[in-house]
Amino acid sequence: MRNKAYRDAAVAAHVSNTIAAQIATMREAHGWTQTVLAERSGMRQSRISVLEDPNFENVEVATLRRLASAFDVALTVKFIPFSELAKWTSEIGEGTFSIPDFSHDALPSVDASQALIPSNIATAIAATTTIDAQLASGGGMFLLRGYPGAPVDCPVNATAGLFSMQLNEWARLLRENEPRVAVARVKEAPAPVSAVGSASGNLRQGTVPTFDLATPQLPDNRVLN
Amino acid sequence: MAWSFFDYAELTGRNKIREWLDGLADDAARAAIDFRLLTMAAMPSWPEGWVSKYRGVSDLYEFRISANRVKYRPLGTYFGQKRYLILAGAIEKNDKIPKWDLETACARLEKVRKNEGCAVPHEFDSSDDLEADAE
Repeated sequence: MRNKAYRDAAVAAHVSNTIAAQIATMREAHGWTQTVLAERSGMRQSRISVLEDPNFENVEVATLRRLASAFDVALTVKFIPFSELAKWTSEIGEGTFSIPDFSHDALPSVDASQALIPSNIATAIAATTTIDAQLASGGGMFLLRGYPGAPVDCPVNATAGLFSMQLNEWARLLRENEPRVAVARVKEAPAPVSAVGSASGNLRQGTVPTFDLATPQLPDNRVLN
Repeated sequence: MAWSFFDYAELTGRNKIREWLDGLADDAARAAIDFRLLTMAAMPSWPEGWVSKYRGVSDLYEFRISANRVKYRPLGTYFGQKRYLILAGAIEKNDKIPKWDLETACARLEKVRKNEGCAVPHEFDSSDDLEADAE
């Protein structure tokens, strides 16, 4: 990254690779052929094929907007510092290119000021292998995140069965990292909502904590010892 | 699970892929290859256009990466679940991969199968710089 020629080429490669990878991944996730995507975006199939070619560098923003509309996802085009690009390369992993459409990603505004972490829930999550919980009101997806060390996230669906299984794995990872903090963000649900969780057979109740995923650091008042 | 890339190395420890990458005169080429592999690592599957089976040669595949109008063609093969071994680097000329590079890739594949060569985790070019910049 310290070499100017490398940086310039990295930007070009990042843009063309990412766009092609996202289009192909989202299209296949929908089960669409290139022809179907072409019909939905008002383009020819041959054009979709070109756009999915990672060597194609002349994509236009207007074309991206049409594809965003076809996939019903948002689109941002912005300049960023190289440190942010470097951060992206270090965090890239499975799921990077899987973008949920609007029907699966309607984010309500959540009042972070009411995001209190109930210590009983956090402690219970850290101490037990089995957590069964369900939202007392509302529903949808939310995400639990564990600290310190590398964040350990657990996407949770409000349906009880899936909830329990994924949380088990999350709790195991947390224990291995000696967690001190557990947080959650509620999506697609009235905010804030109440949650009822059981840990080791003990029912616990509290406000589902919320967390701004775009903010890497937790405010002090949301850190548990 | 993300994809993992490995480089072909001799039993002496010489990483032949790293040597090829370090020998490329164009920094843009290293960036293009770096970011292509990084992107592919995160993709659930690789569509046609990202990787192609090399016709006439069993188990040999090529990535098609362009930088400054030069067509780089790392040759490799799948091994294990979501693991890919880069066997040799090549540059396409007149729409063909040089015969020598194909023979090199095939020979190395045979060596790996006979445990006369090995696979070592691929390290991305300037990875130290990338991490330092991210901090």
